Amino acid sequence: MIDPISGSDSTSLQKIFVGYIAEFREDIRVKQKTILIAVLVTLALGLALTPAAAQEQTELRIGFSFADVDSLDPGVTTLSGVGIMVGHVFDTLIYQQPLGTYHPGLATEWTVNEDATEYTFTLRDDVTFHDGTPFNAEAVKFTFDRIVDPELNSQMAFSFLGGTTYQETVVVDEFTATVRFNSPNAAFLDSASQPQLGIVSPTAVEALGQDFGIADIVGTGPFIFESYTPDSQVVLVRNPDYNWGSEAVFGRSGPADLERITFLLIEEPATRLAALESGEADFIDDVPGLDVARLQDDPDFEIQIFQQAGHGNSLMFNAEREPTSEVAVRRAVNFAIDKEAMIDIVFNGFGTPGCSALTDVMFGYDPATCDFYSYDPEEAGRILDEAGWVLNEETGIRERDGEPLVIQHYAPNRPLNAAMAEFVQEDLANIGVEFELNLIDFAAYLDIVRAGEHNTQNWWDTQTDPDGVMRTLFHSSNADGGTNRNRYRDDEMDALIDQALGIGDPEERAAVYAEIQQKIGDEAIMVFFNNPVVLYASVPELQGLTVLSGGFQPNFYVASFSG
Amino acid sequence: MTDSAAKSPTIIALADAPKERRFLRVLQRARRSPNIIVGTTILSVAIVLVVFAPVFTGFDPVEQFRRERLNPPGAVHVFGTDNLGRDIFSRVLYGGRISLQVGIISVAIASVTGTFLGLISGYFGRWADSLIMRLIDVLLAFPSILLALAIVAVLGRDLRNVMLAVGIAALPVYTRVVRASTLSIKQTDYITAAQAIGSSSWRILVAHILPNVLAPIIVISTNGIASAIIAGAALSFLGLGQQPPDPEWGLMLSQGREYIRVAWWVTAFPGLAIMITVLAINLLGDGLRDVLDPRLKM
Repeated sequence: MIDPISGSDSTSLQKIFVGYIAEFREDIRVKQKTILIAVLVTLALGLALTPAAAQEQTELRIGFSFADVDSLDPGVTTLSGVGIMVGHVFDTLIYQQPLGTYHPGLATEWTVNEDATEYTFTLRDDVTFHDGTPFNAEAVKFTFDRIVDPELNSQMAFSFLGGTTYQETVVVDEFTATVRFNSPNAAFLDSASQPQLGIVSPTAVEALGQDFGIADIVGTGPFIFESYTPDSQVVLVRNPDYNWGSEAVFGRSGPADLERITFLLIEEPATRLAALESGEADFIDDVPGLDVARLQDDPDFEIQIFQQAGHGNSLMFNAEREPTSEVAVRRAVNFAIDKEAMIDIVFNGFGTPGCSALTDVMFGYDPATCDFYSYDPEEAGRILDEAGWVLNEETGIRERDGEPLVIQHYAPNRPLNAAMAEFVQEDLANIGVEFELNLIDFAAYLDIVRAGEHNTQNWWDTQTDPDGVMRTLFHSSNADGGTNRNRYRDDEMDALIDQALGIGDPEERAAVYAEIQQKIGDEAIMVFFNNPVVLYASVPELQGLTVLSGGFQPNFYVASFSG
Repeated sequence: MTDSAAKSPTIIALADAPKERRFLRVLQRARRSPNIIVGTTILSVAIVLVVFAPVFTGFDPVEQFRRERLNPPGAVHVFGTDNLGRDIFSRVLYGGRISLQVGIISVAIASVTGTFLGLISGYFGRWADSLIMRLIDVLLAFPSILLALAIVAVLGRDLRNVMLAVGIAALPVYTRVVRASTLSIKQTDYITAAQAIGSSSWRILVAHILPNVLAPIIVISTNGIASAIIAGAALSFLGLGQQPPDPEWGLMLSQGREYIRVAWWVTAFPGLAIMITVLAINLLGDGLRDVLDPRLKM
């Protein structure tokens, strides 16, 4: 190139000058292009980074505490948490909100005969399963008959269906089904509103066989199952054809606004909370109690508190293993635990001390149960002395015939379980009982307690009808490794539970439940720690949360994000 | 430096020196090593605190002061209290007993067994070598924490099993190092001489080879204690080690994690205890390596 300054003749100078201008123009064009690209990139980045501001958010991410999934099949699972998730994939015949009030679901009308042995449901005729199978009375029959098939080994749904009292489902015509029981079942309306009795697609179950509930689940609900990654997430996507929502419950019937719901399975309370606060999740359940006050003060989050229906946190005694087979030992433990302090320390001040197998918001709850056991370590000591368990001053542990009084406690290794166990351990140490802790992984724990090799374990449950709670915990039909891990077998108790189930009149029915609760107290079958609360936290933009089943089942069918 | 014997000048130098002089020289070097001085000081303080815990704290580590739950560090509870109102200072001290015990015992298991296997493998060679080394290869194929998890899962949750598991998981390092050293020492003249005058194999192993492989073993063991403490704490954190209510550092971390947002002291102090102890041991280990291996010393 020629150096312009040292150029000699004018023409060449001119050329150079023109060249310069051209170069300059080119330069500007390039610069303009660069600026344009830069602006576009910035805009695109801005759009990508702030989707909420630019367009409505349609994916809901839930930080979900129930990380254990045994099966997503509503008829098979024994976990309440799975019910919450699959409650979006399956519709129930009817819905319940609030407790005791029923609304149409897949059934538009229903009638109950006088002695509560026959329930006739008139079904919607415009419903199809996600796989295209039409919904009809055959599907209802298929679902219920399958639950009582011993091969399915159903526990929770089986209990809801009345266990062995279920007789048959009769297909009256294509859209009318009658469910028959061989003895009265007053709780069936409540049961029919539980996700565990959600109606499954017969074609899908037959096609998938054992894989139904693991590889896929097919229902009629507002969301379609997309994927389940163990210990990570469950993803549901909108059912675009959904047009049969329960208007009475949700206020609408068409497809959901949300396109996608992701249940992020986060068992750790601190991690779950962090997920909400970092924006990874829009909603979390089971908010750590200690953090509630802080979140309430923060405008970026909203807290919702409900009293929990069903059964609170409790301690089950294995009645078939020494020393918890002894009523005196069980009574002493009941007197030895300071529940007031437990509320403050273990449950961070939320809830109230428990008295009964039913929480205090339940139908059938008897307030007289609170007089059965007060915190009275001296009384506990006296009972044990009387039973021959004498304190060995050297070890600090009571003994009888040289055998120390040791209770083997089993629980999955989780913070709440550990806190409850250590609390109880200290209280029992005060009365000379050694409470030995075995905090182990979930699978090993299930093996041991199902085999009845434990003395004590924890229970927590949420249900809406007292029959479910009582049957789950105290009926002998569930005592062989099922949910009655009290392994409590008593003909009189079975008779009372079955009797209460058959009484249509609420007052009479409640009287029988009072009798049952009296018997539970007399024999000290369990220790009831608390009447818990349900704590939810979300971003304030999340609207339209529906809470079913007396506070416990959050449902996001009509949820959306407001700008 | 391709000759295998020439690779270990330390070994030869140490072997040649009379025992007392060798020891004095090591001691002299140790006194000049800041790593060793700092490491030993911190570690001594930690051991004294932990062993004589009742002297330093009046609180029972499992006693629950329920009205004083989650109290921040203060005059009465110097490190504060945990979710059940237990004194964290005494829990850290008593918990240290278990953590140090796990560290020392599991390293003892690993180093004694590992050295024995390494000596046999390196000296006798042939099928003994193949057998032992394939066994070690199998162990090496698993990440050590996974191996320890599996061992504890099979044997049952118990502190003794944790020590055993951590020990077994650390075994391959010792075996391989000792085998390598043995292989090179085996070819030195003084071993040939010992063989020539009819010394038995066991005598050669114990009297001539073992003392010469001790230097690397001491270094690896020291650092091994640190990793064993961490491994033990990790297993307890995962619920496979110490069962509550007895304190253990990993378990304390695990139980305090729920409260980390509102009560940092529940996890901070056991965490610091692990960090300081492990740091001290590592300093000591590094210092010992410098002292025992002059090649690394400028």
